[in-house]
Amino acid sequence: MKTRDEKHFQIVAHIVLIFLSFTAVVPFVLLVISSLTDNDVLIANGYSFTPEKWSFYAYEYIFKTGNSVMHAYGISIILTLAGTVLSTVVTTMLAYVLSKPQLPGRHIFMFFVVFTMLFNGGLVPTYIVYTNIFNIKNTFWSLLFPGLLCNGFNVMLMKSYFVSSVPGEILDAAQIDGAGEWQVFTKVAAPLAKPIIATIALFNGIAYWNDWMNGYIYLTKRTDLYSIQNLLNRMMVNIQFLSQNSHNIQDAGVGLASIPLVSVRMAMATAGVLPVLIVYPFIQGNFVKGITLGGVKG
Amino acid sequence: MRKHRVLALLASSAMALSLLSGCGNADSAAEAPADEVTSAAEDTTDAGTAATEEAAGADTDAADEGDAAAQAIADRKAEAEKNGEYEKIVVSFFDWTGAPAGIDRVNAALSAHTEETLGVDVELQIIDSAAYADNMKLMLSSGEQVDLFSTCSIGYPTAIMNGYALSMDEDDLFDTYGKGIQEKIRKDYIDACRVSGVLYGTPPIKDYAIQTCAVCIGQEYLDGIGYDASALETDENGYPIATWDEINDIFAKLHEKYPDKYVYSMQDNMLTQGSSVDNIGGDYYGVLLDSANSLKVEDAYSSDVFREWCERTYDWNQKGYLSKDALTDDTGASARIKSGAYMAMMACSKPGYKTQISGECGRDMAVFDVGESFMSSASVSSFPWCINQNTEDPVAAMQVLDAMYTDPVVSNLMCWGEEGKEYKVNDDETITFADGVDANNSEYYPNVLWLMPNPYVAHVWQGDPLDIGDQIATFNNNAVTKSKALGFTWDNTDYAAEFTALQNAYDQYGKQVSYGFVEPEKGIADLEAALKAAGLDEYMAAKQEALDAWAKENGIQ
Amino acid sequence: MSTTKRKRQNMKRFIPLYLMALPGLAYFFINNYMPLPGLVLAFKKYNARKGIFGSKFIGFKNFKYLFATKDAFIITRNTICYNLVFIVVNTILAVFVAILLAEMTSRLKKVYQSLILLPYMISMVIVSYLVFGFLSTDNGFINNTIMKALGREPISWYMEQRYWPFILIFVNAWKCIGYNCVIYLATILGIDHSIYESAAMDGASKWQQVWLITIPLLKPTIIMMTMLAIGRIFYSDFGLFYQVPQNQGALFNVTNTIDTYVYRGLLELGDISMSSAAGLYQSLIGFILVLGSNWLVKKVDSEYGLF
Repeated sequence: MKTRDEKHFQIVAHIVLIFLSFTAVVPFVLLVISSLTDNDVLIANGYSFTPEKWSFYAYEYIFKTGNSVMHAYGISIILTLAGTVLSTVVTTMLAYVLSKPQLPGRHIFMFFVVFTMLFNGGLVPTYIVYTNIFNIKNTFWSLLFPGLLCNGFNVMLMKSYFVSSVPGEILDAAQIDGAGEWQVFTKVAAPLAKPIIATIALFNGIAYWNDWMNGYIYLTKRTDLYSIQNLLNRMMVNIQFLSQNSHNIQDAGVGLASIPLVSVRMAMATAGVLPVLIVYPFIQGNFVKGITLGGVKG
Repeated sequence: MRKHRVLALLASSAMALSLLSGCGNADSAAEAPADEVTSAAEDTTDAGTAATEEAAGADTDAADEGDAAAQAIADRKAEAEKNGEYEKIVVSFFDWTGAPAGIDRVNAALSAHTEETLGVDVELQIIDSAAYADNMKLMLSSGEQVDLFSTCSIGYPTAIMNGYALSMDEDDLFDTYGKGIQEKIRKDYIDACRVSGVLYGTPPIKDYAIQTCAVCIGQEYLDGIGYDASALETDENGYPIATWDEINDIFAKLHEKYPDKYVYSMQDNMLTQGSSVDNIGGDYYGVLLDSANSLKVEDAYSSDVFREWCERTYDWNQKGYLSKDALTDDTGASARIKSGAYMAMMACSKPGYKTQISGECGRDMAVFDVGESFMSSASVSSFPWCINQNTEDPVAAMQVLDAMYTDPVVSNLMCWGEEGKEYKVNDDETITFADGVDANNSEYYPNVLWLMPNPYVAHVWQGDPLDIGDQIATFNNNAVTKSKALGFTWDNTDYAAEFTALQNAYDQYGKQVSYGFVEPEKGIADLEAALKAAGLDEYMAAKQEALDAWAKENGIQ
Repeated sequence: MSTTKRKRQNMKRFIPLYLMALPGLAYFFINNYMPLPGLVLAFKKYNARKGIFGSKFIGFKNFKYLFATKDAFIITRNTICYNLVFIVVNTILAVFVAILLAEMTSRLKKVYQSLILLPYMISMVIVSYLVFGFLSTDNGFINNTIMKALGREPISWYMEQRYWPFILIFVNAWKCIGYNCVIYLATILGIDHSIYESAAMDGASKWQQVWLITIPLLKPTIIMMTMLAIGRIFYSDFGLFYQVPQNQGALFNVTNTIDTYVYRGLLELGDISMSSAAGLYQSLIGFILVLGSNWLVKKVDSEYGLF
């Protein structure tokens, strides 16, 4: 009886998830195929799963023109690693503290955090704070700090996990055993919160990897600090600008004619996501292990 | 959540970040400039005379002012002697790829020269086109050092309304330290950049006129239907003059012969490039339909020009000349022709346009001249160079600007980089890429000649005639329709609500009807109703009032 | 005397905790609170020369364009309605998928999980091209392949507004499920397994376990996520509403939101004060709604409040 029930569940789950995975993957496949389609064919025939003519030119173009693509990947990797570690640590510590019911001023702090999710001073004031007061323009820090380091959403998410899934009694017991707050946090609370820490780390990692805003705003001179998303995004927008204003630009016509506009966009999108796809399963291996370990323990 | 926030931030801060959607889709203050851009120079004789007259008029002051300029330079040199370093002037403009690899070297060469001539260091700060407008707005708002900047892509009215640009009339800055510019640019063109009588910027020297309605058709397709254009008369640029009826005949034959191809590659440029409708004040909500003769502000979308165009495209669409995806396809018109699926497009032409468009389309193109040459009210003042109001030394900034118009060394470095590194001089005095250098690996090749203050004081690129500057000046002077409102600009911030609603109304109804996707009568009626509801009448009345005031002030009938 | 002493001791106990919270709070102070005075821009006519605080005060004039025409109703309606539907659809789907994933025994679950997250990694601009790839009238996959196979007439997708609410809801769900589902998955994995074991021993079926154990334990997270989403109810994903429908006029009745409306005007106007006003308006409404819903939720059960 039980096993049949279980079996039913598993079959339904597979069907649903196969369907969902399929809807997620099909457009992505189209993306990759489009990036490998000859640009003129793409314009003439539209996007197709079985293009008339294949071409690697879009990738050639990206790697040839942005001669620093590899360098930009390097920046992205360093940024993502540093950003993920830093932001996850900061978020976890804050969330843990906020989860303490007896903490004086807890509600004020919570409000302080939630408020940041609702209001922001706007782009110009934020920019002025970071450039004029902290002088981080055209530095690596400008990729790391503005907007990304910690956000209220993640803090709240994690805090709610600490409240619901890390029993206060265990923490109290550890304290009675003579552990200090810091030890309780690192030795007891954090390991118990592994699933959410892994989740937040994943979110932070994706946020840092995908971010192009900071580079767009704060890097005006240091082209060597462009991350891959920044580089691709700029190329993409610049090409668009160029093509739409091509009638204005002397001598650009011939050069422009050699840029495969449409397929290059697709290739750029692919180039931005592909490394993540390759790395993700490895991260996920550890991630899932962490989750199950943390989960079982409680 | 994060992504949500960024996009919201983006949208609500209204960054000119049209991402990929519509930087060039005409119809606006910021873009209208770009549509007419290219390159041009002043008629040397004209400027010469004007300058002489000027000089004669200001005879007595001349010596003093000359001294003032020389004195300022000497003072700065003395200061530099004392401090061990020269003060720096930062000059911002955009290119297509961001700061070029050789920027530091070019800046060093530039400074080495300007230290001698002007007593300052000059730093070019080149930002890519995609980010330029946003980056500049932020920098100009936050007080970072930028002394001179091109308003291309930022928008000249925006720069003035937000208070970014310094008045060049203050302390007689322009009169005293802009002598060289006054010699290079005709006075009426300078005056065209005045807003409420105040000069905030000087225009780059380029072609201000456009030859509207140039219909470009692939030569091979014309050959295919056996069409011979030699029977037609040609205009001064050497292109056959045709009427829409003749073009329609050609289209019909093309469609018959090549049923698998789309005849016409549509883009949203019918008013900007295909008509002499003057978008005074930078938008099409209230225009001059007969700008050469009348200052009456009228509604462009109820005009005959617009209706005829809509009927034409509707007819084309019925006959199957257009792609059904024309409304959603944002690929450039020329790129579509290059793909081989389309045969014709419309743009605006100028001297040498055939070569350019043929290159873009990847095939030999025939250019038919269907329109007329036209200089709109905003053509000169579309993107002048401005001085940041926050600059520490307006005098030095003005002098550097002056040098950018007059000093061949400065202009050459700005436009082309270093001789021997980026370019080499040919025997006939034109220049080309240095050995082993091309557009892709050059360490300095901004390729934005048309926004440079004066590219004609620099070398001429191989393939262009040596007298290109004169040719362009003649083209400007000969423009058949010259707007009476040349130099009119207006501040629509008090009508921002109407403007926003109008933009939305146009986006909702305008494109469909001008692309021929709805029946013209109904489409135009819908558009008109939406525009009226959005406050078109109030907006036009306000514009008319501003225009009348401006005309009175400037003594224009 | 003794109470103050105890209090002081108590406070001392919390010092390490405050120190732990400090980096995060300091960051929020810098990143979110220091720029906040800039909001006064919403009430001023910005002029760089006078600076943010020196610019002229003009009251509520900058807000006028948000309410000036009949469009105000449509954009507000669209923004709110879409957000409400998104909250419901995304929550249900994400919780559902998270439960399936959590209960799945097969090793394939890892594969599913990463594939479902894939759309989240692709930017909206690219998504808009892909959607176009499917919906384009002449060359789209749907018209060219599916409609043909069904023997149906091709549809001009970008001219027919009735399809778009569904398309937008689908695209949004497609993009966000992976992300939301990871959140719920983490919560489910944090549930003490012994609860399930004893339930199973009592003869509870799989479905009963899900219904009686998992869902109730997910409730705090669901409530919190919903409240946070309510705070953003006046915002809309610009890429989703502007780029995915390709800014097509024929679709405006169902695609125009506050963000896209503002964008069209300010793209040309470039007015910092007006964009600041729009942002303040959106935040303020969100803030009020969050305060309200927080009060309501706390009345029902004080544990679930945000603050």
